[in-house]
Amino acid sequence: MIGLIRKNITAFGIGKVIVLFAATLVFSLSLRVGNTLSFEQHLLSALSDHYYLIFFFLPLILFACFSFSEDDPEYVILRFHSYHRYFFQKWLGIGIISALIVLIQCAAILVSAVGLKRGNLWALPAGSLDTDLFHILSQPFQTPLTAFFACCIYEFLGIWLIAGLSIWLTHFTGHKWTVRIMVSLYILSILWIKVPAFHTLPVTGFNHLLILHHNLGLTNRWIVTGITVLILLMLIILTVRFQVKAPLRRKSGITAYYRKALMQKQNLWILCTVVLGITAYKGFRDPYLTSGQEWIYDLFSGHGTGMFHVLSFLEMLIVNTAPLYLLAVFVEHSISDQSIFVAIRTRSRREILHGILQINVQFIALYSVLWFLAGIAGGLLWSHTLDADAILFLLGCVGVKFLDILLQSLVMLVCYLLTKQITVGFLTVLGSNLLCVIPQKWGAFLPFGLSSTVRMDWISLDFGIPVWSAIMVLVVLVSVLLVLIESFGTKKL
Amino acid sequence: MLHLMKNEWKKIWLSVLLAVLTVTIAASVLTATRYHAYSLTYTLDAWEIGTELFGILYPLLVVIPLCWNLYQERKNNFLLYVQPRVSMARYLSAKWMVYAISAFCMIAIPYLVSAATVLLIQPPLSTLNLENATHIFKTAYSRYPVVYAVSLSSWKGFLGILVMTMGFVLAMYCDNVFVVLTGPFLYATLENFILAILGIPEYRLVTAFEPSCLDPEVVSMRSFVVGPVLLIACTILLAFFFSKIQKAKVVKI
Repeated sequence: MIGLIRKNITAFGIGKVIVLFAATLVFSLSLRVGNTLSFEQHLLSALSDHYYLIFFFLPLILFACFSFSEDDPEYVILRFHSYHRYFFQKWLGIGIISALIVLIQCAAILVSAVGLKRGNLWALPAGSLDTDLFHILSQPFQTPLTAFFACCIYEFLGIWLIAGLSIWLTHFTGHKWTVRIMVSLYILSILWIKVPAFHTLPVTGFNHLLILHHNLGLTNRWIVTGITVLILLMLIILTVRFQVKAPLRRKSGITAYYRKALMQKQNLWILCTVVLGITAYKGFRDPYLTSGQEWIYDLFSGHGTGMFHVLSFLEMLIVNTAPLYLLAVFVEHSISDQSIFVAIRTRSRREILHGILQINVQFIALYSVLWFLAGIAGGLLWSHTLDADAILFLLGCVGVKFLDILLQSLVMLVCYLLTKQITVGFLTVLGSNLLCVIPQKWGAFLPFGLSSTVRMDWISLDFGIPVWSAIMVLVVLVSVLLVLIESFGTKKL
Repeated sequence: MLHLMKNEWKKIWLSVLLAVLTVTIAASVLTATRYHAYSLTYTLDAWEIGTELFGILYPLLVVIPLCWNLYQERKNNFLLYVQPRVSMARYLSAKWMVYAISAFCMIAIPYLVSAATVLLIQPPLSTLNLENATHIFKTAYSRYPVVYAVSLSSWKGFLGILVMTMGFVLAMYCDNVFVVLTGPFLYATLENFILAILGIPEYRLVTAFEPSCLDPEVVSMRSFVVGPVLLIACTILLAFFFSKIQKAKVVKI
């Protein structure tokens, strides 16, 4: 174990130690300029500044984690008798690096505080920028020094957990996916401090694991963090102890083959271009939207029923059929013209069918995530307030959009299975979208394009069908189609 | 050449006939029924209302019944057997000419028949908006509806040929039948949407196809030129991309 610790410390490197000390010192010294805090208050203020922690300290921690997160060679793991022993001892050993990081940081802050007058009290000089922070921390702690030590210990535990998470992720998902997941969680931390709407959502980012005061001052926040940490710890311990197979690392199989064919860079670029283009068009068309909800409503407006407005219809068609078009190209290229060797390598036609269905769902889910990100980004740019209600509304819209596009893709797939012609499937979807022009009341329940916000009574405007009816229509039809495909798909494929 | 064209016609006559019949019936029925919900000022208003949807769908109508044939001949290596007998340029020219005549008929005939339907029905007109009514080529539209319908249907037939040519180029080089059959539709949809959001809807291909879809004051002679020229340019670029950059071959050995 000592050898492992030594190796990990070497991987952490002296360079990061110097950068951490120097940058923390410069930052802490800059806090002294124009401030008249006491020694203890300065220590707490420097250690709790979330801009420093999120924009410098956290990236450094993540960078450090990536340097030792990879599993050691097998002959090293063999010396520990089992993988879980190796994992837990490695994680335990990384506790020393975590302690080292916190100690270096504290040393830099202490050096910056040299010469300040002593005063272990909460009372701040008038006009201080730390009033809110000190008010929050003064509730559970008696003095600033106690709070400083508590923050240090919390930070130490946070770094330890993040390091463990990175080792666990690398083992189960590989280096590439670890970087993607960790960077996503890091972006979540930035959004949490930048978008007030996130404060009410029960999500935990790296900031909650590292910064103590982010868990205080908000109702039930510390409970959410506690539960998340408990779930995470249990997940890590159980999956490592019982050697659960890594699902994401599986690169073979028909799904992986189809994923490679469908999720090509050019296809992802096309999806991103569609999402960006429509978002920019909506944002610049109505730059004076007042609320976040109004923005989301406009973004997913689509086309109504019983009328025909060319531009709205084309917009709905482009948004809903962009992934379907790529799916159709993929089906024609990779499934219709499928090599006989692929069919031989798969165990059964059922496996091929499941592969197609899985990749279909994954592709549409990815597209929905892009729309969620576009909704957030557009809301930050073009609306005054992006509150919790707007984000929940956005989640609802994205969810219904996912169901809508999934339904259309399944219709396309059923047509393909029946006729062996994906063009027929695409034309069916196109024709079904055109049914919205029918000037009948039942037309409002047509499932194609139902994710358009103008078709549903989202915000009690007495306009459109009730949201739950729309969701029920989509869920029932998706279920029926899945059962149909499952029952006759293998015979027709 | 005429012999080659006859041969080509034998291959596609059924799909062309079916397409002409289906679209003609659909256009006539829609023209004869959809106007009931509207107040008409001129007789041909019912024609415009009834054929409104074809402005979006026509790229599919002219490509699907024709271009599958060329794609199929490439896929089953039929062209390999043709090559020693006739020069490929000559063969493809004959094929294109038959496709062009068919595409023209598939657009012009349904429009002409639906116009004839509305002129026979003579739907009830309202005189409420007669003084304020505006329309592109108003004199021909109101006084000589037959001349207007024949001219516009022929023009639409010509645009159908241009759109079919894009499908023809795709069928010559592309290996994915779905892209071949829906590529021109995708182009028309994107071009329509992008030019509309850029604030120049008068230059869309659909404006050239259906000039009455916009305010007559906005539509000018350039509206009939820009969209088709853009389409021709894109078709040439597509051919250049496939033949010179991607080095794709019409006949694969």
